[in-house]
Order: sequence, then C-alpha cells, then structure tokens
Amino acid sequence: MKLPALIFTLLLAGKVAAEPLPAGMVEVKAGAYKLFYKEKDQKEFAPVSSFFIDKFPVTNKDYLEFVKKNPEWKKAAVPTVFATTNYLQGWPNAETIPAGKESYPVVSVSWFAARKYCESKGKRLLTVNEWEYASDSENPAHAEKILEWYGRPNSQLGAVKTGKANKFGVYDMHGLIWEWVEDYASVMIKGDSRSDNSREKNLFCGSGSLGAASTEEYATFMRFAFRSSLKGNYVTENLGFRCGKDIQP
Amino acid sequence: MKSFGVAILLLISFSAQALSPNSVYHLQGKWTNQDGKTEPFANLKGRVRIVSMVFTQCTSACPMLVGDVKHFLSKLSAKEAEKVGVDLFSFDHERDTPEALKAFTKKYKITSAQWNIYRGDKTTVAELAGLLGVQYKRLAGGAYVHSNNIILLNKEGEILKTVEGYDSSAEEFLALLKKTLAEP
Repeated sequence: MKLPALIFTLLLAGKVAAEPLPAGMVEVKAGAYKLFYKEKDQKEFAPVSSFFIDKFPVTNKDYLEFVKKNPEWKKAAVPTVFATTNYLQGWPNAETIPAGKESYPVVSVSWFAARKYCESKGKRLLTVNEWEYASDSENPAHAEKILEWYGRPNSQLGAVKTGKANKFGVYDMHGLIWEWVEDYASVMIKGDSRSDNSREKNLFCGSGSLGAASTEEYATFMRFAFRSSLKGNYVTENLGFRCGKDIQP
Repeated sequence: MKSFGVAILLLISFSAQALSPNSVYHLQGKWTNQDGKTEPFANLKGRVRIVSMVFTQCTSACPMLVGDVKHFLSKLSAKEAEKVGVDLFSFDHERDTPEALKAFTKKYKITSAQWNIYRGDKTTVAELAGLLGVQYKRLAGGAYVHSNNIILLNKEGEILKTVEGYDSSAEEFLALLKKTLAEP
C-alpha cells in the first residue's frame, strides 16, 4: 500500500471510531442543568452528559413510516392500556395523514407509542433534565415568548422548523407542541389537600424532599405541572415527542 | 368427535388470544421473584390481584402499604382471601436482588405463597409504572420517592380500582374486591 493511501485509510478509520452524527440529529454538548425541582441537600446543578437529539419533533410522515413497519401501532390496533381511544385522532384512518400535514409534528400519541417509535430507530426518549437543558429554557430571553405561547388557547399547529434553531441547533422546543419525556412520571407536584394530613404526607416516601428551586420560573413550572398530570397512555392534541440517543464513546 | 376436538382447541386458542384492550397483560417484560424465579408479566393473568410498587429499603410508605394490603385481606373470608394474589414490584432495579426481596418478605412476616415481590430491569419498571399510573423518582442517594398506589386487578388484568393506601375510598376498593372474587 502506498503511503498516501495508508494515511487516508487511517484517517477514515479515525473518523469511523468517533461516532458520526446520526441523520437529522445534533449533538448537545455536556454541561450542567440548573435543576428546577431539587432534592433536599442536592446541588443546584445536575451534570448532563453529551447526547444526540432530533433537530425537529417527529412528524406525521415519520410516524406513518413507523406504523407501516410496526402495524401493532396503527390507529385502532393499539390496546387502550397503551394509548387511549383518541390515539392519532387527527388521522382519517390507520395509514392516512391529514391532507397537507406531512411535515406537521405527530400529536395524540402516548408515551408507550413514543418510546416504541424511538426504540425502532435505535434511539430513546429524552430525560426531563436532558429536555430542559437542550431547550435552553432557562435563557431569560425566551421566557416571555414561551409564556405568550402557553397563554394562547388551542394554538393551531404548523409544520416543524418554526423560527430559528436554539443555541444547540435544535428547533421547536417551545412554541409548537409539548413533548413526552422518558421520566415524565418522576414529576410529582403535591396538591394542597395533602399538606394538612400527616398520614397522607407520609404516603410519599421521602416526601418533602422535593421542592421547586425557583417558583418564579413560571413557564418551567407549567411544563412540570403538565408532565405531572400525565399517564403513560394519555394522548392530547398538542403533545408529541422527539428522540435522543446516547453517544457511544 | 374429531371436529368437536378441533372446536375445543379453537375455543382454547381464542380465549388465550383475546386479551381485553384494558388488560395490563399486554405488557411485555419479565420479573424475577423472591425465590429467583423469572416469568413473563402476562403469566399473572387468571387471578384476582392486589398489586403495588415498592422498594425494599423504603422506610416509611412501604411498611404502611404492606399493612394496608394485609388489612384488606383481613376483611375477607378465608375462602375469599385464598383466591387473591398479592404482587409487589420493585422500583429498585439496582439494589433489589432476589436475596433482598427475600429479606423483605421475612422482615414483614410475609409467609403466604399468595404474596410475591419482584424485581425487573429499568425499562420493565418504567413501563409497568406507566401502565399502573405510579409516579416515582430515583433520588441521588438511590432511594425512591413514589406515589403509593394499591391497585385492584381482575382476572383479565383490568384495573378496577386504585387507592392511595387505606384512604377514604378503601371501602369501595373492598366492595369491588369482594364482588370480583364472587365472579366465576
């Protein structure tokens, strides 16, 4: 083998060894996420490792491809324990996307469905911490815009890739849809009714150890409150998802 | 005679297939009990069950929960009680080995073969919690914060009722338990 060819081969091997960026994803570099809900005695920041994230939410077109390959996830084929009867309610039938909405985010999908979709792509749902970190929602520049969106009743959906990418190169984290996360069930916001009754208080192992770190962050609070209200088979007209992926060393 | 046999076979295979859309036994995943026996979740089908999610190093909610389940069982006749399965599923996929589960049964004087406590992997735990509507969070120290749901399943695996411990709707839970036990 001639020397230049050898160098080329070595270079190529080097490239392959470092994991290439999967199509449609960007890398979110490791950092620290300022915890919204922190445990008693927990540090204010939690480390987040680098991960890949879908640039856009999963679209109707993407999802149609998935149900064609995985017919057990077609509309009406899914048992209600995995998705309530409103699953894919906007779709005219099992293999038809609403006209002209191919690039709209898929909505009315359950957590179980979202997980299976990501799994089928060799991906996974993001954790709460990863989602919040990648959404750059602690950036005060976003706060007003986010609240304005939350305040709009029944916002009309549009196609993905609205506006500009955020600092990580990710689109649509705010202003389009709400998104499933893997550990949505880890968000427990206690109702007032619980606080007076000492027995009920004790029903939560370690209750009182979780509290909002900064209640002023109202938009963030709304996202956490929404997550705490969900169940795995719930679907709503503005709840979709995107996937993440571990970066193999 | 032959066609009769075929009809019986068809009937058997049909009833084995037809799972209610509301049945939790659609869930895949395997669980290992305190004796180290591993089985698919769906094998629990066919018995009325009281289920809950715990972890063995839990100090406050879980002991109360075991007490609440025992209390429910104490309200049944002996004949009713023997038909109920009690199944506790651990959140703690890291620390709850079959040995730890066994120690838990000893600590809480659980001797009946009707009671089982299981461990599963992280995904299996997440999916079951999603299905049962149980909220939980792993704390930095390895303990869990969790809602304290006690869930009544009929033989088909449909959720009939969920209570948070022995609360105000416990009477309703008990009435439903008795009712479903009376069914053939």
